[in-house]
Amino acid sequence: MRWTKVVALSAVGALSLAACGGSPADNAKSGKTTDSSGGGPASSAFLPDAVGPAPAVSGSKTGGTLTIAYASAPQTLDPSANYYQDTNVILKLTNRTLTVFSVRDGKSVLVPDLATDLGKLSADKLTWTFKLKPGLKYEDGTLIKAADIVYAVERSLAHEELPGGPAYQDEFLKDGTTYKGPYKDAAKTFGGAEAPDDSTVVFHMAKPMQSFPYFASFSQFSPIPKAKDNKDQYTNHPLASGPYMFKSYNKGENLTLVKNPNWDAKSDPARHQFPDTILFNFAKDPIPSQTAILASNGADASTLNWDPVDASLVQQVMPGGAKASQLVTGASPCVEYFSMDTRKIPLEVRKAIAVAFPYDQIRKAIGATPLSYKPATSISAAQVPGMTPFVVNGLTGQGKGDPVKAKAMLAAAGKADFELSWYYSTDRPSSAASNEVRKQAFTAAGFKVKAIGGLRADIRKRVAEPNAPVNMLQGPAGWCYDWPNGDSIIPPIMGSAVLATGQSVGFLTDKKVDSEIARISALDVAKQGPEWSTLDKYILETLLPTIPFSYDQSNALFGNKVHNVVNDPNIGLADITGIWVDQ
Amino acid sequence: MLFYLFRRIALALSVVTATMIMGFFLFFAGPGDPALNLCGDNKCSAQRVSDIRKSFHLDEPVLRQLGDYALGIVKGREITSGGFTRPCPAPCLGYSFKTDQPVTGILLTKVPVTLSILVGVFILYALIGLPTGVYAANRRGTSVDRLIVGTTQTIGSIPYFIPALLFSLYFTIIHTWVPRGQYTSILDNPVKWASGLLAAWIVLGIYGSTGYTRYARASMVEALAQDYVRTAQSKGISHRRVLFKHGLRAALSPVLTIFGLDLGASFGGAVFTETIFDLHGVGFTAVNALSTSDLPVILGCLIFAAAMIVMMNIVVDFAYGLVDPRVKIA
Amino acid sequence: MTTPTSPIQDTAVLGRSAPVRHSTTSTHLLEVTDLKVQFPTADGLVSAVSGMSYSVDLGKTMAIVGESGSGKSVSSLAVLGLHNPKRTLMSGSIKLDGTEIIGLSEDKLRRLRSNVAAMIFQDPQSALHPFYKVGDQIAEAYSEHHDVSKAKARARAVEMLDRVGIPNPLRRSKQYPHEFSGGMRQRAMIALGLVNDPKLLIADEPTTALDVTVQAQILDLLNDLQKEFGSAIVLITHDLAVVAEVADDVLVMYGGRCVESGTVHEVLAAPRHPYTWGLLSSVPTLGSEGTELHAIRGAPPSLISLPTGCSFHPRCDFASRVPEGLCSSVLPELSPRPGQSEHPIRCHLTTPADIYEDEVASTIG
Repeated sequence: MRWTKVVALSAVGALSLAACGGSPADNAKSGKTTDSSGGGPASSAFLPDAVGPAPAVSGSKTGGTLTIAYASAPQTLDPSANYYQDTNVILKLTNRTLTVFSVRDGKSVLVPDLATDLGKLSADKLTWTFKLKPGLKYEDGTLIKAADIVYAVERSLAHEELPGGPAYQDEFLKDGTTYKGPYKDAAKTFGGAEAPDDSTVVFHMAKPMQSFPYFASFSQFSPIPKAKDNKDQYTNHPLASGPYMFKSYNKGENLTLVKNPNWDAKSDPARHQFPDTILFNFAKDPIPSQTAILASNGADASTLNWDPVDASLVQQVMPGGAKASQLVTGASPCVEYFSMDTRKIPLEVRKAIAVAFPYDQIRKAIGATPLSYKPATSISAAQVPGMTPFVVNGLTGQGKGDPVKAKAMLAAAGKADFELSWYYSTDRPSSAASNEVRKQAFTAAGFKVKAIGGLRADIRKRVAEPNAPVNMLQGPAGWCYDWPNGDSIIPPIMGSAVLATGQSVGFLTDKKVDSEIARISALDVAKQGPEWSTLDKYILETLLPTIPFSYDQSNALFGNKVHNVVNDPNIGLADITGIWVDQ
Repeated sequence: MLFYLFRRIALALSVVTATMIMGFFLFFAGPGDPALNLCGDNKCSAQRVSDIRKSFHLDEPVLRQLGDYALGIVKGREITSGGFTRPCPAPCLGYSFKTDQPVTGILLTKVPVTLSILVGVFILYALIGLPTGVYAANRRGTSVDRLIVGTTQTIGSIPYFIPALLFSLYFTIIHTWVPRGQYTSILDNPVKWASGLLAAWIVLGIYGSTGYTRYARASMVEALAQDYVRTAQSKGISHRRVLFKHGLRAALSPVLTIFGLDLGASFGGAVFTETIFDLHGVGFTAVNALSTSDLPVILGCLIFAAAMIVMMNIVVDFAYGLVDPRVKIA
Repeated sequence: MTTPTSPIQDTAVLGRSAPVRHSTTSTHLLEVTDLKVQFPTADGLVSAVSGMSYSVDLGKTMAIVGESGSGKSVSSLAVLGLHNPKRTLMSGSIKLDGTEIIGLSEDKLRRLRSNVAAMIFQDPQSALHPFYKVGDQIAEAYSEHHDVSKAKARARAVEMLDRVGIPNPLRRSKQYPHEFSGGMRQRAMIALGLVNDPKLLIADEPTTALDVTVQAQILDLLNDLQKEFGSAIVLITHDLAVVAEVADDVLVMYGGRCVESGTVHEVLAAPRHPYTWGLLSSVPTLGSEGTELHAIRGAPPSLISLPTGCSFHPRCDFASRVPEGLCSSVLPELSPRPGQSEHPIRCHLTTPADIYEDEVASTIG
């Protein structure tokens, strides 16, 4: 998923004491003692035999109110239109799906949720069949039926009425490209999903999708009874199947969840129901919120904030700091890049750019703290299963750059004074600062630099154009994977098919890359991991379309009555389903 | 008198209309594509942009759009978002695509917050600011008077947000001697409503009172220098009576004028207070909308604030006519 | 019902709710002795009144004449104790109906104000409170000194408005000052002054803000009321015509001091002070068209730094006639000059009467 999709609607901060740190993923932690993603890459091993209840949490107590406060506000809580990380976390509490991620021992594993297993694939790889656990109910006591899941998937194709969701269902399900949703195409039958009986859901694929079980954990697969679909009002109270249900929702202000009495813990391998109430407070200025949490007075003691830790408070929560126990950091699915247009910049020049790249200076300019990043050496996030760490072409993700060496490389290639050009936002302090640093570094390295400034609203558009008059920093500035497998990373940004969409990182049209993508995608998921790792390394080593910059780190700051905070490395936010509070 | 009222209302409407037109044009004169601006910050598919363009009729001539907007305020209109058509009842101040709700609805939830702040704050102005000023005026030239004037000037010259931030940080967050700022509707829990507003009332109330102390003092000093005060004294009535019935009565009218106009202007929202004390009123919403480029909300807040200022102007003019018999409302 | 006769024998009066008896006493009603009023200011000590003495009896009118800044208003405010004791230095003696005013407590002063002595101020437009009805303002003065119901006080106010000749007094009493014409406002002020039947009425330039025809009416009114109520009047003015009309005695002030005093006849028909001569010859008369207006040269003195010796000497045409430069060094005493002046004058000239007969009389119309 595009990097900028991490949190919805950046909001407050204009009048805070310290300047905002820029992007939400700028800050994170490297606190090793509290890194709950474990020492190595998070395993997203399938655990098809996992059954409820979820593994016990030692010392846990029920009751109390957990408050989550952060700076943004969800634009929609409609499961069919959801595609943001924070809304994923919220809907995970209320809406069960066919499969779901469970964070166990710091690792995130895929377990069956409403389904009995992780799906059965037909021999021709074009049919996925799921059987539903019997007797599962909605918050109002009615039974969950397979037809409800089919309806939900159909509804997720109504992009015009409920915009904003992912498009995998369009691409991979049969009729996905032609079916426009149940409001427009009520008469049509949707061939991509059917419910032969009340407890069986069958999906017909347009082309094989090995990662379908991952996809089936998306909120778009949460059941919606057709009779209860009140269209654009559904976002105000989606019918709950999870441990919590909506009590009140004030758009842009707060959301109160209370226990769902009709949730069956024994059927749920991933979730707990500890606090009586979970309260989300949106659009909260991070500095007072985080300061209050660290002070832990009153209700602040049972509050959690997952915004980047403000620079003024970093000292207190670094390892060894006074309040280090109130912070949990971990991996996030997002990686930041600085991309180069491979069509316009020759490989030798790209290598010189990599050598000259001023990582440290840029980090200083944008105010990155040690909590906010880890240096990136690969296109894919480090925790994706199968990733083996590597460094190629000197891409260590840190350092001051070597202008002398770069200059020599340019001269040797006969490309002295090669012009680099890019867009940047003048009305965003971090963008402008980063721009200055890059200009200096590249000029010192013998390049000519042309930086085109503009207002953010404008630049956003230009950066998405595949044929703009610049040769660097086009396309997404970062990428967050949708699920922990290379097929949600490499194909969407490195394949030649995405060139025209404005989503390409580097504008590659490499035959080998394309064929490898096709080959690996067809393999069993369990086997894909190392193959993607190899391809990742190959791309960076041989084609160098982009300079990986940082693996974003997530953080969660919480009051001293909040317990069992673990990071979900596939979302980059705390996993709420296991948190309990003292009263 | 009625004719005068109608005339004033007509004038007021013209001011608000002019504000609306100017705001509307700034909307379009601003950089970037208005449809792109209306669209969400990050997740803007081409589909959604064209959706917005269609439902806002952004492809139509600007004047026609202005007409639709104005008509929407009077009659209400329908906003199409993709396949769904939502009614936007009058007064329809536009539709915020970023938060997916009509602007009027947003304002209706934010106005009570600002109003709650203002109620407490203006009561404090009246209870602290005015009596202190009258007290100082009565003791003009003495050390007490100098102390009061000096204090108000000192407090007044510190930029407001500094004491506000310090108070918020040290009195409500690090130590919770005063309850943290938060808004609860008075209908839900009056005690919690008051306690959540207390910090804001105290800080803004005391800070703003300094201005009223000075107005009241100046006005009172002037009133006490008038001939009719001497006449009153010559009647042999008590000093208290002279001070309050003759002096204060005359001194208060200009102060009340300022009071009323201040109140009208404050409906735009005490931005610093609302942000620092986490009270999401009109000011906070407007500033927030600025940072997310949610232009319909900005425009809606602007029109609302203009309407309140203009309305309070009329109220104050009429009130003045009631208070000062020399002023004829005609 | 009895009709009022001579003020001295007055007992009950038509329509009055509270009869007042002004009895004659052997001592004067108002006796001012060597009054000094000074104001310490940032620029220096302002000597508004530097030694002033006079007395007034019931039924009589004393006019105090002088230019602006001569100290006449200040001296009369002192009679009612209306100066701010914290900002004023007063010495001397003011005896009002036997009570010493200087140093009297505020409480006791208040009982006297509007009751024993009342003041009518110069500009009724600004002297009446714009926010209160005229009737209420008059009633307030009455209620303060009489224990009556509000209705009774209002009725008294209406009665007073009627007494001063305002038509439709009931309707008028419910109006505001700005709804009155200039002359009516002054009448209302007079009504306010007399509502408690004070023994002494101090009128500070009561006709200055009015045009001539109205002036005459007001003066007649004051005259009638004095006859009716028997009060003493102190009339402050700069207008000699007014003095001639209504006053019994006159006191000419200059630079905070009395320079000439006596009966009206004495001072106006036989003035003996150069300043008084100047005042009299400044008055234009019929038949004097075409001739230049006579003005006293120079400007009124600063009350912070009065000239040494006689305060008037810089402007006096006759100072040269006094030997040894006495005028600029010695302050003359206020005393009569037997043979030359029967009434007191403050001047060094030895033969003012002769000078007057020979040189000045012809210039006065």
